Amino acid sequence: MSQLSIVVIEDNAALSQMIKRRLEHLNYAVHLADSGETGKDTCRKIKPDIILLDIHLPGKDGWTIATELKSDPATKSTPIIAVTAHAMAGDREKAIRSGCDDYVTKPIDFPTLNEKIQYLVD
Amino acid sequence: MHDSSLHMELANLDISWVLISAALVLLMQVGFCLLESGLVRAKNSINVAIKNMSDLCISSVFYWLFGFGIMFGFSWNGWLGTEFFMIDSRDNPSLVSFFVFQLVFCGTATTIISGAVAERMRFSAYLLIAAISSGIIYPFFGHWAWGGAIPESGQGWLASKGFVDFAGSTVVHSVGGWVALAAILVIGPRLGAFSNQAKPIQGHNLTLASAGVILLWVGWIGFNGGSTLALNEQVPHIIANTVISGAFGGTASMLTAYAYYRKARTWAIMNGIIGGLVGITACCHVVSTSGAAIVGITSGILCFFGMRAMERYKIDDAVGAVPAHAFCGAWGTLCVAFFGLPELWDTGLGRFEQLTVQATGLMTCLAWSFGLAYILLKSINRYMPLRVTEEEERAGLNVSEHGASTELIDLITEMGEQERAGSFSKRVHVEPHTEVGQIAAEYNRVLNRVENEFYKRERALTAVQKAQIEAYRANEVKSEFLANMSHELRTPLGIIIGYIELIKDDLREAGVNFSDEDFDTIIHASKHLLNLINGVLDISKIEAGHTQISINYVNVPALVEDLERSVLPLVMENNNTFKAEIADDLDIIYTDHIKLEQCLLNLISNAAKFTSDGTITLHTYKEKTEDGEEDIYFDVTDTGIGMSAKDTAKIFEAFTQVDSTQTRKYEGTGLGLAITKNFAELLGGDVTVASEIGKGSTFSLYLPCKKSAESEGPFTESAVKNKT
Repeated sequence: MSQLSIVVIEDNAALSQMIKRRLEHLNYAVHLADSGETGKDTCRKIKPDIILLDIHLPGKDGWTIATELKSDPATKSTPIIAVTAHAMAGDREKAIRSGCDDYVTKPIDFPTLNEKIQYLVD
Repeated sequence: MHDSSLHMELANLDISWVLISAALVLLMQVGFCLLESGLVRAKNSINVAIKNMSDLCISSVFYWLFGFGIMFGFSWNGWLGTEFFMIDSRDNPSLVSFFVFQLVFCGTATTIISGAVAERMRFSAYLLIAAISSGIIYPFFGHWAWGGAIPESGQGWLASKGFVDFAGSTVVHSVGGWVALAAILVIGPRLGAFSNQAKPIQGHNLTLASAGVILLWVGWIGFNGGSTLALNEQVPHIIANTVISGAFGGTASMLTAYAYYRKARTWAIMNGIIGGLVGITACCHVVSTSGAAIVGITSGILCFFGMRAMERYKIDDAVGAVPAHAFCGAWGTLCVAFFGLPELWDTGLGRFEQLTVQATGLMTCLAWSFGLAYILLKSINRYMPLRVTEEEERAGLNVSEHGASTELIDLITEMGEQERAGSFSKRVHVEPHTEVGQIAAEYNRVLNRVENEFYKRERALTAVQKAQIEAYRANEVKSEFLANMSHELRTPLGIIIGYIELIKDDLREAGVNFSDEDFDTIIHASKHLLNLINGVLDISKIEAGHTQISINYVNVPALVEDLERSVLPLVMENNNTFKAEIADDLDIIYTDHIKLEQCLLNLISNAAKFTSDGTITLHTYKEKTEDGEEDIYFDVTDTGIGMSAKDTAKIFEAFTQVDSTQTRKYEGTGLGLAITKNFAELLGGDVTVASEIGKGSTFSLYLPCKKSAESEGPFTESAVKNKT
């Protein structure tokens, strides 16, 4: 089975490094992007199997980025998993409305994340 | 050229009597003016008065031009006169006196119409009727009945038959009355004249009207008295009969009204008098005093029933002119034959023959006056509407036809306009030193006050709106802050926990031997820190009133199933078993799914924490409340250590734990139950507890059974969004 590629859009450097290393331990090819715009460019270039998107980004918020990713023909078929701070009723609805396919809450539980990714790429 | 007047020679005394009588008849115009004006509504009073003046002018103009000539000129086969058009006032004094006398008679006949058609006829149309009546209808019939009054001028065809109408019951009053009838049939009744609503149309000044009637009475002395054209021994006889008839007419009508209505109605008395006077006009020279009385009585009663008949057939005569002048005029004409003394009417006809002739004259008048008027008016009405528009009728003819108004009406109109427009910035006109001006000034003062109050209200409203917007903005800021805090606090925690795992992985890969315990302690503490943060954020949100609720369908069996799955590991940690019992009648409820789940998780994990080798039960059921509503209960029962009564009292307070010693055995934040209770209350319910030390506890969470899915609270997503 070939490696799955994943683009992680997260602005906190320490956090994104941690996520990268843990995902690589789970045998993913990880590409990092530290902002929404960089993330969109990276996704367009790399065309990953899955996108992990932090909702609480500076500047343009994650919801908007998700909507834009889903309207771009180059990226619209890629599943997006949103990372939210708290499982509030509003967050969940927003995630679904802006086109995300699933979501996890911080701090990320990696076994759960792995399960969700496997479910979405199959 | 023929000049019939050559044989006309009146003595000076007679001339003076004729001219005085003419003045008295002219006085009757005042009477008509007051009578008609008083019987209509104020908004039409000026219109009636102007009609009276103008028809007098028009009829006089036409009468001089050709009316007098047609009526009294040398007769062409009894149909019309052929001389005396535009006579010269320097002509034969007897002729000229006669002319003046007849002129005012013509005016009387014409002005009868104005009362009947009042309140809805266009002024221009009325002038037209006055012209037709005085120019065509009156002079022609006048010739037929009176042609030959001037010696050697031939005779009108009715006169030659022996028709007797002394002063003009038919010639003047019936003609006027029938034309009036034709007119009111063409233009129709006034708005609201025959509606079923309580108030019938009322005259605005019955005092004025009554004064008018009495003036008419005075003028009638000249009307009948002067028709002898001489101051002779007939005159007292005639005048006495006239006065008696009027008096008996009024009395009879008044008594009849009393019999019917238990009240002496003013209009009954007024028209009774006039009816009596009209009736005697034809026969005052041929009846005795008792005859006059009978004529009066019968005319008065006829007038009364005539008015009732008009009402019944919904013919709207504003002043009762038709019954008083047309009906009583016809009756008076017949009375010549009924009650007169044959030798006095001087036609040589017997009573029955005279009656026939009278009837003929009567019918001719009816056919001619009513017929011609009706045909002409109906045709004209097709091209030029004779009636004013509904709007104009409601506004009143003073304003619509003459642009005339009274002060009071002006004020009322101004006030009415303001009320309709809802704008009170303008002040009404104040005419100084008048009563109406005082009212207007006071009204303006009231408006000032009103404006003030409006202004205050506007200010208050604006202030409230501003405050509202500011409050919502402040809330938005707080919400954003809390959301940011939530995110900010979790990030470093996530890093801590994540890196611990990474280190463990790296060590394993490097083949180092290590025990998981130390690392697990760090992770455990971090997770505990996370729980504390969640709890603190929840509590601060609750206390700021920022908790969002979204109420929707919740499938209870599914929820319980999910719960069971989530709590099983926790329950089994202490070797407990979990049981879920759901009542049969529960499937869908309306509430906030996530909050309910959080509450139940809290209760169950508490139960699991404080129980070992025991059973934890979740029992869900419905129960009816006092006011007929239903509540849903979620009872979490455990067989754990239980609590003392003291602890039960404090258990829901924030930051309180059962065991708060340093060597705490049961970990927790002390916030879980406070949050659960708060959430329950937010959703309209509550949490209670029953416990016994050593036996276990039952925490009971209940929520109201909502009827529909709607969001509650002022700070739900949609509510907040709408306010920005």
